[in-house]
Amino acid sequence: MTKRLVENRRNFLKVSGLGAALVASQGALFGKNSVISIENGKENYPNTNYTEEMYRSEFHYTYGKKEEHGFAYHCVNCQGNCAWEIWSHNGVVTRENQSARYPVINAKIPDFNPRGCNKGVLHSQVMYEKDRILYPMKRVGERGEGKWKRVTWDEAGQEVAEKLWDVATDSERGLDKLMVHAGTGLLTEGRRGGPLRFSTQIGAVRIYPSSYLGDMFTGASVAYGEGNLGCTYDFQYTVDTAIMWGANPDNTRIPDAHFIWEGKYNGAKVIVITPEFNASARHADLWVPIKSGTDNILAMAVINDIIKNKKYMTGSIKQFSDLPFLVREDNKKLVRRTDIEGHGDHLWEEEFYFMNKVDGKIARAPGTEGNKDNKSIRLKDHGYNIDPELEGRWEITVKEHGHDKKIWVTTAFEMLKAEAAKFDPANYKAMEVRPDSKGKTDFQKVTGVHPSIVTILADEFSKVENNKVTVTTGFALNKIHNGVLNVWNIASICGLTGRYGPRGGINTENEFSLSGLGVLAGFGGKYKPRFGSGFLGEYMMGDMDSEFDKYFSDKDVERAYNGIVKDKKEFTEILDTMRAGEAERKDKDGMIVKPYWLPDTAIIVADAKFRRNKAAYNKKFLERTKWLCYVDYRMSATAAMSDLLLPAKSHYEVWDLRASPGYHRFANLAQPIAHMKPIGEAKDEWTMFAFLAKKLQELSRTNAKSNYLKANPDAELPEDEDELNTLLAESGRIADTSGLARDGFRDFYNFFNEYTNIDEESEEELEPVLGMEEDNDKTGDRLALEAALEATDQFKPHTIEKMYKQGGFLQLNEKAGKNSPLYADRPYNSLENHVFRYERFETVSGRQTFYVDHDLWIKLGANTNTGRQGIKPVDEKFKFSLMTPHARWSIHSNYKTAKLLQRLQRGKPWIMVNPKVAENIGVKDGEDVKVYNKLGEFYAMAKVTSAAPLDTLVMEDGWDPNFFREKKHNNVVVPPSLSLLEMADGWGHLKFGGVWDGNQYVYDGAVDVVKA
Amino acid sequence: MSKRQLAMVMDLNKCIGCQTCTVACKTQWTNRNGRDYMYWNNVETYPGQGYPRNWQEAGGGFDAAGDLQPGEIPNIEADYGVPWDYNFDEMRDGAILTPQQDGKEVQPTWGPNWDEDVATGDYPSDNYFFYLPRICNHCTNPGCLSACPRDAIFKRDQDGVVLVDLDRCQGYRYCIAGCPYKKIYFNPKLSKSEKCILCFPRVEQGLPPACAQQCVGRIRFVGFLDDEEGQVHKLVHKYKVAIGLRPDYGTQPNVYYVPPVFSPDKFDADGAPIPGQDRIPDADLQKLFGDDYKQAKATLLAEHKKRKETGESELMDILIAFQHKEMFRLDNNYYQQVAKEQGRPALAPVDDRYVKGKHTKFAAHYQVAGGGHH
Repeated sequence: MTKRLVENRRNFLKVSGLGAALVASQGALFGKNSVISIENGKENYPNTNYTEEMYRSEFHYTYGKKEEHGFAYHCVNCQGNCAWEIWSHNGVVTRENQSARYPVINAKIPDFNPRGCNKGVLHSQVMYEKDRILYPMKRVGERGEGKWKRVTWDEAGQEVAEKLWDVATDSERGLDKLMVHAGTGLLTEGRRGGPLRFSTQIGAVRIYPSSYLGDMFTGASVAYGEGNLGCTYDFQYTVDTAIMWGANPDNTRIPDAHFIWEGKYNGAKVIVITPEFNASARHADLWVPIKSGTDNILAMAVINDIIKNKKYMTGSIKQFSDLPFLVREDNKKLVRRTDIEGHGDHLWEEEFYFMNKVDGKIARAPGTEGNKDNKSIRLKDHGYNIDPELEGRWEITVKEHGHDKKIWVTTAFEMLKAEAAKFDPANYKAMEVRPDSKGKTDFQKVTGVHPSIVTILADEFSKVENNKVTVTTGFALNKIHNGVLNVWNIASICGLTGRYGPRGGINTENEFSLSGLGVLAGFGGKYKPRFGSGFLGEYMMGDMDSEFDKYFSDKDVERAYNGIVKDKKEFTEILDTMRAGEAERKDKDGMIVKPYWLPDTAIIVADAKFRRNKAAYNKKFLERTKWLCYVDYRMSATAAMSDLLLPAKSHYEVWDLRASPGYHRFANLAQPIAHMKPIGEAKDEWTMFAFLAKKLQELSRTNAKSNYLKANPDAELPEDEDELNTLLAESGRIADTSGLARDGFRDFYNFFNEYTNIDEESEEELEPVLGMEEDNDKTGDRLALEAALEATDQFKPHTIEKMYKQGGFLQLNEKAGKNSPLYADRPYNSLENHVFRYERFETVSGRQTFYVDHDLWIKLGANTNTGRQGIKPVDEKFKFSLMTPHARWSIHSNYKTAKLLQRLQRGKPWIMVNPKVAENIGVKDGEDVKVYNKLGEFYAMAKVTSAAPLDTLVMEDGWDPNFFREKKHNNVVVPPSLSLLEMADGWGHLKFGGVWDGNQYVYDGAVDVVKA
Repeated sequence: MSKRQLAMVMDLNKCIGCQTCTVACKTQWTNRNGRDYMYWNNVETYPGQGYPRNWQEAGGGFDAAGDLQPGEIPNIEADYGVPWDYNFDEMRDGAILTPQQDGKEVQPTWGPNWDEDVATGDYPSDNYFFYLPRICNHCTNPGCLSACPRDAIFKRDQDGVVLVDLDRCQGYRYCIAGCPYKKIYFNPKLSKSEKCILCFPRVEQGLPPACAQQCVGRIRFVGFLDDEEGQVHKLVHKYKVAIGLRPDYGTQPNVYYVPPVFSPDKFDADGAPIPGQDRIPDADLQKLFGDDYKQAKATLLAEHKKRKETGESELMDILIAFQHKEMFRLDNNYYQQVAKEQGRPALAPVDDRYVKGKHTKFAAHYQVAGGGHH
């Protein structure tokens, strides 16, 4: 290197900004014996050691000892389920690094490594943050005032036991008033079992998270009898076309997104259908800028294109769908065996008919709910020889009141054809069109989609050259009032074009079979929890009727129901027939309705209730709830409003296992680092709830003793413990209905014994000991993990040690396939068992459902697939939609507050605003805006980007209310509602349960935005 | 000249902007000790101002004649972004969470990823963006090294990693001005400069750099440029689809990029897609990668087409990267040999999955000495 003049250097250096007075702190280390002369730093540098050793030491410090490493994942509803290796130094977690040891499934398909994401990669930084809950705390001021008193676990446990005892023995309240619930901050098979076991055993209320989050794929439940189905993500690599409908995998399927882009390199076409131009759209082949909530209308147009132009797969429809089923033209009901043969067996209500081309006669369909002797839907063999007619109408004879009657029937296919024709882009007539919408047709004005795209989509699904087409449906599609139609219609597109199994199909969220986990929380049917409707429960708890009435107009209801329901009064009348009352399962006419409860005492684990619900709900919830005990590892708006806080261990401190869902075929291990220094007084959920169970048992026994002595003042209690227990046990029983408690009572007297399986009955049945073992240093979570490994077929044969050695996971065995075989060397995709083995679907028709003749669905015109505009107001002033899709920067509210992640964003809540909109309202990037409507307002920083549509503001979900100016959360502008379609119940396979409930909606509000 | 050069290739077609790499680097090195504001790995949205802000206009590097160019030192608040903290301990009191600096609330004005997903163009017809992850390029002719008046920056012989000699650095900061990529930072606690070290302590022990191994999009390949069996060599020298960033800066960077050549069709005035009209302008690629982008783009598109039509293409196979562990060829035998020659104890690798390389053929029967150089 040439020598340079000192002057050149001085000129060369330009310093901008503040000058800094800095202290060289390393003086002692600079002692040198001689001058070092460097000619050329590019080679043979003589002093490499100092720096190299410094950085090597840093690495050694963080890496620690390999044999002390732990494993973990962060299963908080991201559903990613990624194996992380946890590094440590001296019992303190230093860092995590993906394990990345998943084996190759197929050499010609990319493997599942490394997994992980920007959130999981920093749990090590979050678990030691200043918002950690270290010990039990009791509220001493007003709720939310922030005055706490530290209490011991004993004191906390005593209070919990007292509250549980009080509510259970209060004749005016009882177990109906108790909620014990775990939210989505704790979604592992192992640890989640702890609170769930407690909840089941005590008979508490709990609700299904999918439903209250708006994440339930109700449309898929209608179509397939199963909401969660699809593929392991390596399947996406193998497709001809991958459609991301309302989904943004680059943001929200981070560990698996690579399969899509590697598939693109492999020749796949990728289509992204989302309102905003997002990370996934940016490298797709086609981006469809659809207007939020209009997906069902676009899907109907595609259905119409397929039917009108005969792009459907006739053979597949005839075999696997109910489209050929005969429908009465007089009342639009499916023809049933009771119509043909009169009333006989109750099963005849669920038997349906084809018109058979072979002999021109009607034929009873095999494999229906009422006719599932062979459980097969084969149309030839097994004594059947049916070639169903798809089109036509016929006159047949039915029995009515004992007499023969001639009626005309047609097929469900004809019904669908007629309905779909209304959605041809050329002649679709909208109920209401926004005056400033672009486009030549109503269709384009309403959906934002050019008609040529309808044809492109129809062709992608149907063209012969496309062996495999997957359509991944995002969770956003469920979060609007008519969301059930979004996914149902998309499922129907798949059904029309024979997209199942090896040909691809719908991908909501795959799940594998896991049998045996009932050992943790199932209680073998001895006890059942009070399982309530998620969306209805939260709606009623928050008195949301008044918010609904305040916000929506008669016009909104009329639009959302295509004029069939004219106004709010009629809407509410219909709704009320389906809300029989608290804890009711049947209405006065015996119709099955969704159950809900309004508890006033709650123990809630890891659920950001006050984040995901509307502000009006939060207020009502706090009014109704006498006592809230909250369990989590960190402070949040929900924690801050509780009455008793219990500290939980976080993901790196526990023994645990996570298997579901089915984006891949592995179950991951959580094993703490060796010699871990405990963080505060945190307990794992199993140990914690066993402790609470102990406290409840002790209190029950104390109460039983004193009650006995009060009633029998002269009695002498037996010395022998067994005798004493036998004498007093009955007074520790809390009566409950036999449908929920096998023996007619909950046994508080032996609560701990039953919880830990050390009672006589459990020991006889060889149930594993759970919760805690006092003479063993295994914590409750470890026992649960061992029990799960022992009991679950699909995990065999694995031990904790084997999982550890492999890299912190196990591979599910072949028993895991739910409705397809799980091949050892190929990706998994659902529904092969139906298309190859002709097994019936878990639907009333035994086939993919295109026709729902529930009375209400017929009345609302949804007996076939149809399209509906939103309930969102079309308003001159409030011209914007507010979208809050799942985030890149958090999993709901988990990790939202991580400072390392906030530093990579804007530091405070931000919202995407299109530049033209920003210009109109005089806002520059970085300035605050106010977003508001009739219900309220909130403030956020504007991120000005042309990725945002002109009529939509886009914000990530999951912001904690404490992040906002004046604590005004973005949910404050979101109106609540209950979809009549999702409320409908008791039809075929649409019966309340894990597969059929409703969604809380998030995208039905219209807002305005101004400079703050 | 360095004897061997360890290099990295990043495929911008696969980057999903998840920032896992950024945070992985942060937890490995820069979450402490004066490094908080530094992002040795960062991911910017392009077109955009980048991190530090407007770094492409901040000088440094060399002109065509090879002379070092004047440069600026970015400002923490305006250009890097203040690494604000939060009043977490007040959450229990129901306080509002606000960004803080030194215990006081601050209003954020800039950050390392401030213009994430800020698209260029109009919605919906031609808006676009892509992601550009950046680390120190460990240049063959580093601007930082040339600028340092004390010659306190050096390039390792064994793998070309560029390091600041923290023993001899006096904190003059000419290096920061001299680097045209602004990938060297001043540490106010040490009063010295620090930068990405290509995770050499990990590499020496068989673990790829954190940003690379932990990249969830699987976009990064790490290997020696002279390892002809490796992807880095093939992408850079055989297929020539991997190009250094801003080659006009004259520093000969050793981090290479496969340019982003896929984007969705534009829309016409009626909203109909215009087939074959990709959104990423060639001008952007020209600016970032120079003339060589043309050939790279042509090769990528041709090979992609070939794959679609015939199912065959070695280039597509490489970029797809079937096995994650094969993406990193750290030649561990070589490092063991270097340690021996330097008289250091040869530490066994902590991981044996990434050991392959020019001198290390067999992952299974690993040996400390010997290797393949007989």
